[in-house]
Amino acid sequence: MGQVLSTFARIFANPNFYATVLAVTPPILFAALGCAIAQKANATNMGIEGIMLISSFCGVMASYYIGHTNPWLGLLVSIIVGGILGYLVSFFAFRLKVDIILVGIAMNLLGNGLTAFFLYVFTGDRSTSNSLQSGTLPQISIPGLKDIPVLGQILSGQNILTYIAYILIFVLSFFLFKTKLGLRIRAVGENVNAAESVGISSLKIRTIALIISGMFGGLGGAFMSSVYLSYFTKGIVGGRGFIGLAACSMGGANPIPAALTSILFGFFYALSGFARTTGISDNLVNMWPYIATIVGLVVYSIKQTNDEKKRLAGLNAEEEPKKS
Amino acid sequence: MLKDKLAALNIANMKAAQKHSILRMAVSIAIGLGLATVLILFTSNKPSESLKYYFTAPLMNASYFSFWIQKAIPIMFTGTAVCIMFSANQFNLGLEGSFLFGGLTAALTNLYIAPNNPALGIPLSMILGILVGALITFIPALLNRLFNASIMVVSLMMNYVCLNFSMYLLFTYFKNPASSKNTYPWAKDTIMTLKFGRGNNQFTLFLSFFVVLAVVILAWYFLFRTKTGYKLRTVGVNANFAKYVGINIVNVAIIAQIIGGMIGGLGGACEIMSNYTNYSWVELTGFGWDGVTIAIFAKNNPKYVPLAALFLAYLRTGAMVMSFKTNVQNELTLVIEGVVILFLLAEKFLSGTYRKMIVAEAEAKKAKAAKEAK
Repeated sequence: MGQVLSTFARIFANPNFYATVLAVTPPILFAALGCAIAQKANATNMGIEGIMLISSFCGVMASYYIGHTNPWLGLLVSIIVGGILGYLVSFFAFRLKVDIILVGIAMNLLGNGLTAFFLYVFTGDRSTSNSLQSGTLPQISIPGLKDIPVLGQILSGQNILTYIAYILIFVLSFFLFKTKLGLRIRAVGENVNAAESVGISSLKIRTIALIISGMFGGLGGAFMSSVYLSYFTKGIVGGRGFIGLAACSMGGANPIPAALTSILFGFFYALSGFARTTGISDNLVNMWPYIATIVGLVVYSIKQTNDEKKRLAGLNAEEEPKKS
Repeated sequence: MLKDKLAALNIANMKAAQKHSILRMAVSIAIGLGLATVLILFTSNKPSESLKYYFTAPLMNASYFSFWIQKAIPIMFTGTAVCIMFSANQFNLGLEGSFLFGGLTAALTNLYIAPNNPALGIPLSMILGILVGALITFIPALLNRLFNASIMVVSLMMNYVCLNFSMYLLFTYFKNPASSKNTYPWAKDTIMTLKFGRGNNQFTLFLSFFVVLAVVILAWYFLFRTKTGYKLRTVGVNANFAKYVGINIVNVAIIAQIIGGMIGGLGGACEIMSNYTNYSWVELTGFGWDGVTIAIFAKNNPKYVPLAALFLAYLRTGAMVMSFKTNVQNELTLVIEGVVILFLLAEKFLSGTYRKMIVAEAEAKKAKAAKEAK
């Protein structure tokens, strides 16, 4: 027991650990932010996992075939493909009226199927695109910051897409709470009828929300195949879209809480990576992020229920004097 | 008079609805298979051979036929399980975990509790598989009941917890040291099958096929012929209505999920005893997700599950044979499934035709009534 504790103490004292936390969080974060904006319009984008998978694949292929290993072109294509898939989700869910959860499930099936099918068509390999050079996005060291001892080690030298991920938390937050379109998205999510009655087209707003959601999925997909790895592998997303969905759900679909939850999951991902080297069973360690998700969700739900009770109690208290 | 007219119109509507639902099913499947054909034609180096295997392989010989049935059985289990859970509108996706643990439980039962004794091992494995499977879908249901935590998210996470925990058990305690990821074998040959013939003409009789048929029939009886089943469907159709007529919707939801998990666990146990002689699952089987597809195809009615499962398994067997005979990947089937689901469920898809059908049918009725009046 003492040995285990000292191992953990050593891990937590290592600045590299915190740098790893920041580096493994972005795909979960992108997924969580994508789910958050969709959820704000009351649309559960469960297909984010499939969207990430397809856009990741398309990014790699575009980077190799069109861009001559230019990862920026791959990134752009990933984002565009993500947006298109987001539009498809909204088309099937709101135009053709399929239950949106089932659209998500179909999207994930398509993601697994299409990527595996075309991976073989394009590369002749059944599991990876290792044979195609697709390039990776650059790392950035921040001048000034990089020379500060511990902090520089943690914050500087991350990938550019990692910085973009953290910046987008605040961009999305601003977009949702400070712009007209953000207000409309929230209005549609809160009460469709009320929104429609003041002339907002819920169909249009939800479509926009899902397109943006898909673009976040595209960013997450691009991260997987041009930062996390430098090529595409079958099932590369590995449930990160689902974890992002969980993070969004725990964060009440608000960007900042959802981001904090994502970082918490990133923390457990990193911890499992570091603990693996210390002799604790791989498989036990791999369970942590998922158990953390469940525990976190329970804690969040308890808090949510209590808040609701308090709110109702407050309403009752306000009403009482009127009666007397 | 008016009443009669309305009644006539209603029947007309029902017939049109039925016809339309068959039409929509046919068109969706046609779109899916059409897409498959196009993809094969464009990517295969031997298109005609690929197509031949894809569409007819399961009927080519006894071995492929057996393979078809083998593929249909697990998804019949999970499809039935999802039918029950979705009928109560509970999006519990924990069947992957139930199925995996059902399999692990059966393996361990045959290895350590009833070694070399299939007569005891098979029934005992099934019972224990049912219990373990139920436990796994019960956890999200319970957390939802107690703390209002999202069933969908918790059950998704449960699957990964189950996978990693089962791998921990396998690698730490039960692995055969001489192998990379297998337990010791519990028998020389699979214990729930009877095999006849050899090579390509080998026909396999799966005892689990009879088990799953019994499960399907029981599930149908439960959903459509018992009081609890009726309550369950009522909760699924309109939870508010159910609440106001005094149904305890929370209990009904939990019952639905427990039954779903039981069937999933049983499916896992049968799968491991039908097709394996040692346990070596190191990834999720995917049968839980397939269950969702099957339940969608079967419109949450266990009656149609065997048909849906046989259809899907037919395509998969064809794709499998095609992928090792020619250069087309068998994941093609997943694409078809996704496309068919989307069109099959699209309320607005072909809705214009539906309206026309209703009008035509009503006009026909009217004309007939006018004729009779004369």
